[in-house]
Amino acid sequence: MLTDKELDQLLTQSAKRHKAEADITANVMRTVNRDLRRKRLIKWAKLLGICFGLPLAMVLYFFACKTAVSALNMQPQLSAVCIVLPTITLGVLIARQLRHFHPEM
Amino acid sequence: MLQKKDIELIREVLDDDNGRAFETLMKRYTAQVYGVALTIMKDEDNAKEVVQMAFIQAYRQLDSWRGENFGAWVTIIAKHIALRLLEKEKRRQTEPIDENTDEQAEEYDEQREQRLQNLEQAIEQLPEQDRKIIQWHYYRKIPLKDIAERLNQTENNIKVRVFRIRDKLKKLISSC
Repeated sequence: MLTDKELDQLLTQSAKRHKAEADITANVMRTVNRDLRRKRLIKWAKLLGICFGLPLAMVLYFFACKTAVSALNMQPQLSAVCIVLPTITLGVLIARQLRHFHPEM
Repeated sequence: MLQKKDIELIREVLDDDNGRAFETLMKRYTAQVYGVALTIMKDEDNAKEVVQMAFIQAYRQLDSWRGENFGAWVTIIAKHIALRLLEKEKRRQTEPIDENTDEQAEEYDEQREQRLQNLEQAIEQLPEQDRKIIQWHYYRKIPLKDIAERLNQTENNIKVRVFRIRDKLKKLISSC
């Protein structure tokens, strides 16, 4: 049978152990929450990128095409071909991106 | 209250991640993993570090978890980390190894570990209110007077109860 002193020692050690376990949990959860914040930030950045970045890129692209076509003084038919072909390619690429887009990934 | 199964908690972590589910899992298995880490590292601070690293690694690789026992999985991760750290330490060691292992050995005592486990088991076997009294008084250092107030009893009453609970604990530990 344990003595009172031994039981006291054991309870003190056990309390210390519980404290260590609580410290571990707190430290790990700090890292986990940091990871979660980063994940959430990436998720929103991706969403904003898709919602605003893509349309902005399209606008910039059309503006650049228009500027180039007018600077080169191309015939209207040739200009149309020059704009339509890359636009279709870009459209296909964007559609593919959107199809596979998932904010969690 | 019915406890959620590990798999449900892990699904929660993976689907609707708010950290709380993982914290529940951690609380469930920290003691087990810490015990193993301590057995290998033979030092409390290093064991703590190993357990932290193991849980962080488990969290980051949770999608590679294949449905086995979560505690056992984290324990294996912790073992690998502990052995790797020991290996690294051994390579880094410039002083004679024996001196250091003697010093570390004092921090880990198998018999003490066994007794601590027995104590935990004994506390688990106590009725809920007795368990609370022990946890409040010895783990959270709440004075007996405050415990008496919380439970609407006199301080003397609580003192007697603590004395009886201690007696019960001693018997339970000895019978383990």
